[in-house]
Amino acid sequence: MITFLKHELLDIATRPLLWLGTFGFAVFLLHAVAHLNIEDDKIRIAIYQTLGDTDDTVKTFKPAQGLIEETAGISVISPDEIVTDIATQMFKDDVKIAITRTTDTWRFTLMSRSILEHRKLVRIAQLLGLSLSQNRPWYTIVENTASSARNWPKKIQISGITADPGSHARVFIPKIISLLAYFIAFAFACRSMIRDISSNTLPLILAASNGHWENIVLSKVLSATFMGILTFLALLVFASMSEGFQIKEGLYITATLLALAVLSSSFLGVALSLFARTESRIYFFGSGYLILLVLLSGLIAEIDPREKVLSFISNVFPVKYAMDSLADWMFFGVIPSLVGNPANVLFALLILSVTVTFVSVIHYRRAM
Amino acid sequence: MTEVLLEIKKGEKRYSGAIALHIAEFEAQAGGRIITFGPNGSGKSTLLRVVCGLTSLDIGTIKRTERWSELRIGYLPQVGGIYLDYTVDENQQMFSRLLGGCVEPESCQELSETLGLTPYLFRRADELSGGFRRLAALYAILTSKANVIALDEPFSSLDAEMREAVMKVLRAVDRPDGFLIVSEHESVATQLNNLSGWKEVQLAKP
Repeated sequence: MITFLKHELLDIATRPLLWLGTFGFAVFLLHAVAHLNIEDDKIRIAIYQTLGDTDDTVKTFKPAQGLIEETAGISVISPDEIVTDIATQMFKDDVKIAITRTTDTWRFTLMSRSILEHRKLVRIAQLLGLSLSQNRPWYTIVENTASSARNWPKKIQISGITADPGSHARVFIPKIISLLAYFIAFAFACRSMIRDISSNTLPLILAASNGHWENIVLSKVLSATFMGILTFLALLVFASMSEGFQIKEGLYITATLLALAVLSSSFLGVALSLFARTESRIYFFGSGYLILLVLLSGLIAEIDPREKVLSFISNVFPVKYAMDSLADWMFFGVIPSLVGNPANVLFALLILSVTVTFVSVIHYRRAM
Repeated sequence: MTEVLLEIKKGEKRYSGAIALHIAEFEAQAGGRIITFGPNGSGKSTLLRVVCGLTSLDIGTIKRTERWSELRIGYLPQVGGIYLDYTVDENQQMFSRLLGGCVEPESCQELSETLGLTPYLFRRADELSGGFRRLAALYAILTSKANVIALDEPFSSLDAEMREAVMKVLRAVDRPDGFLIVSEHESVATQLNNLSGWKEVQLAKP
């Protein structure tokens, strides 16, 4: 027993890169966890001008903004442009509570993904309503502006955009769907490549394609991507059947964005396998990659933006962008745009992963 | 005149600066059978990899026929070359698909009989002994429609009976549009060389 224990310990001791790398990675993960932004999200609030607003009603916005900031201590944005679609603008500005007004009413529009979040926003909206009501001493700000006082609404109305808010755990469903689709594509790409390396069938299939690596890499990447997209669709159907999500308009666009992320993931799987070369290394790298994804992709919480290095690493995971757009689509039916962000970022990351794969092929070929 | 499919002149391949292969001249003609032999480290496997397009030469020229891209290349590496979680039959079908299809069913049956693989066709490769795994990998390549067949030490892990069976099979291999190239140790090569029509390529340690 002692002899074998010695054998195992010596095996580890003679590989300083292995244990130093393991400890370094563990310390890094601990650091990352310590900088997860799991405190209460700062609620963004906006006062929006709508088509029905007159010059007199617009004049009340500034004092309303001041009242809220003074009484509730929450900063409020108030863009100058007229908003036609409140929900879309709220997504664009990442706003949770939008304030608009009619002649006699302050309207609060809440955007929540769960009952828990909805209740929280309702409580904040009630507080804001209280601030905007004519309770003294706060209302003196308004009274100082005669025209504002004349046009000041007396009623409060609170409404939510979400059609079917449920348990707060549902917040994780779109995120986990994206993450699983992404990781399954990665795992299948790794499995396919490392299987051919370990059984030494890679030179055989490479010779069969007349030495054209691109045929081999692309076939592995595309089949792994297919598995990732299939996982996404299967989980989406399951979520709609058992968790009450509706498959809304814009599925193709959302799926296209996710496919970009999944494609990058497959390329990374192939690249990592070519760098790893052995099954034992790929298990090590693959499990480390999964932990990184769970902690840094925003599944649990975003990384504190003040942590520049961690934030940068977090922003390099393509799944992060697919996660956000899938969540917005599943909860609120927001159709992501294929022009601009996040499509541009995903496309850039895809090019990066293709480049990494290209480098890994050159690296592997050199030793062939 | 027989078509030259591949020609190497003053070829050299290095790994980490060390010369792994040095060959002054090499030529493969259509329908040819080549046996390359030499001691360990003489570059037999490297030559086969160069021929199959898996790696390139660092020095020298390699000229391939214009129709090289149309040729299907079946390569048997020195170790492995078979999926262990598939049966012998599944491996054969899979690699045949990659190499332009399968030869006539009668030929497959004849080959499996000669190699003694028939009782093992539907057994997973990881349940087989090392020798039978080697035969299964060989069977997968030889039953395909590959034009060029490159076998890197096909006799390794085989007992005397199996070797005899493989000799018999290699005698029958005929690829008029391509060629057969086998790398082996000198002792085996001598046995093969006794057969007529084989071209010898002897390699020395660089």
